[in-house]
Amino acid sequence: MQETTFLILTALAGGSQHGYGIIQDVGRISADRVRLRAGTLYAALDRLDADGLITVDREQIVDGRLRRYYRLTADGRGQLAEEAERLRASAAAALTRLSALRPGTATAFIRSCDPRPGLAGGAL
Amino acid sequence: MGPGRGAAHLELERRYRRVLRLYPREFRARSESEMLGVLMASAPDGQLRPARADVTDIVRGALIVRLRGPRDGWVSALAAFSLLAPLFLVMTDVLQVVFPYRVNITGLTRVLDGTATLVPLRGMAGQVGGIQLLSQHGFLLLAAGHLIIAALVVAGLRRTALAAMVVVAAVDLIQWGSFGIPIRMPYSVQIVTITVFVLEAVALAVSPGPRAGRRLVRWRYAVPVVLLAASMQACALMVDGNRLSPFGRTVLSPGSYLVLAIAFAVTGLVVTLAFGLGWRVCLLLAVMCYPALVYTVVNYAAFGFTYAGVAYDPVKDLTNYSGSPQFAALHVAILYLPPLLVAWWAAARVARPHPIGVVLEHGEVAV
Repeated sequence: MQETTFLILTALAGGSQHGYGIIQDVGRISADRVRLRAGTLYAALDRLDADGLITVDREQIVDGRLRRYYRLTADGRGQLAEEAERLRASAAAALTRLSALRPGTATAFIRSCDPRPGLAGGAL
Repeated sequence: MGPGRGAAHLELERRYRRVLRLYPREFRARSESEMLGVLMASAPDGQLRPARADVTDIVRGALIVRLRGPRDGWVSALAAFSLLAPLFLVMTDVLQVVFPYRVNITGLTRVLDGTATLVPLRGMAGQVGGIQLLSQHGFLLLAAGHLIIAALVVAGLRRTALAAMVVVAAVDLIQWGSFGIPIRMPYSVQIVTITVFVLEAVALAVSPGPRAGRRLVRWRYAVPVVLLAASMQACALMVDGNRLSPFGRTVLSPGSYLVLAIAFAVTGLVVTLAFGLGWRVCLLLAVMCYPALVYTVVNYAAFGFTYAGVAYDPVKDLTNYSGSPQFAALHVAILYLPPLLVAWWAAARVARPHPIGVVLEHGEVAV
């Protein structure tokens, strides 16, 4: 899965959003590393919709213009979960090996990735 | 940016709207309003011209969408192809009749030195194609069959078109069996007909058919169809023109016809992509032209048609099925295996088969 696709699905995992909202959310999720533009976003939304990973949740007319809200489908949730797990496993493998090179550095980072309550969390 | 409707805002919107025309019509109908909303929301106050980064991104996005083609992939591609392919065959026949090519047979007087008589070469009076083709039973039957099939797909009669194809193929086979390969039929017509029939039969059998194809295909698709047929005509002029004039010279060199054939084919495929029918239709059209182009290229590469006064018939040589079985098998495999594989690939990817007579959406009945 391409990073853009992953980020868009991640944005929609937080609830239905319209195009501009997705762009802003992807910026937040990626710490402003990825800045989506309209051409890339709508080519991706069109493909994800055709593949059944997202669907139109509702439509509004705002200032005379159509605003369409998208949400994840069950397939979309499944694929995002699979991809997130794959990325977690890959990152863990990389960090484990790095920790062998530089003891301490990677271990702390792995802890920060642990989603269990009470631990610093959620970088991945 | 706020919802204001200042002059700058309207000018920017007008310019963005112009750039968005790069997208296919279907995509624009679905997403243009949304995209404009996002583009205008992202633009700072007072901006008059679209940001360069946005324009680059839109161009890239439009290219992706056009290459991708219609949303339901192979289903739409095969439906569009089922309509376009028979029209292509008719156009190929028309070009063979409308643009005859007179070969230069002056060399024949030199060969027949002392007789001072121009002997018509194989009874063709030194001409390839033209109105005389209509007096050739083989061509006439095949062209009439193509016309009937085209009329049936334009009318959206899927089942009848399939039946007509079976009849035309049977008549053609009987003709070949009875009389051998009719040498006066343009070779490109023969060779392309086989491929198109295979692909068309698959397209009619597994897709919603030409009636659904009509929703995707516009009149402007006549442009790639004519260009691809022109490519076949260039193949015919090169192969048949040289076949019929082993002692003479052609108006253009064989290499020039080869370049013309490839240029027409490539332009036709690029136009197809530019029109937004996507890579799948493009692939089907390319595969449709593949055997004739490969045959022409192989002929040129192998022989170059430099006969130097030696009577040589590369067509007879390369299509001599009575030769070694290994050669005949290799010949068939090279020319027809790729189209068969693409047909199988396309059919396997149509998730939901469309049995003949099924009721499509909007209550439409595919027949």
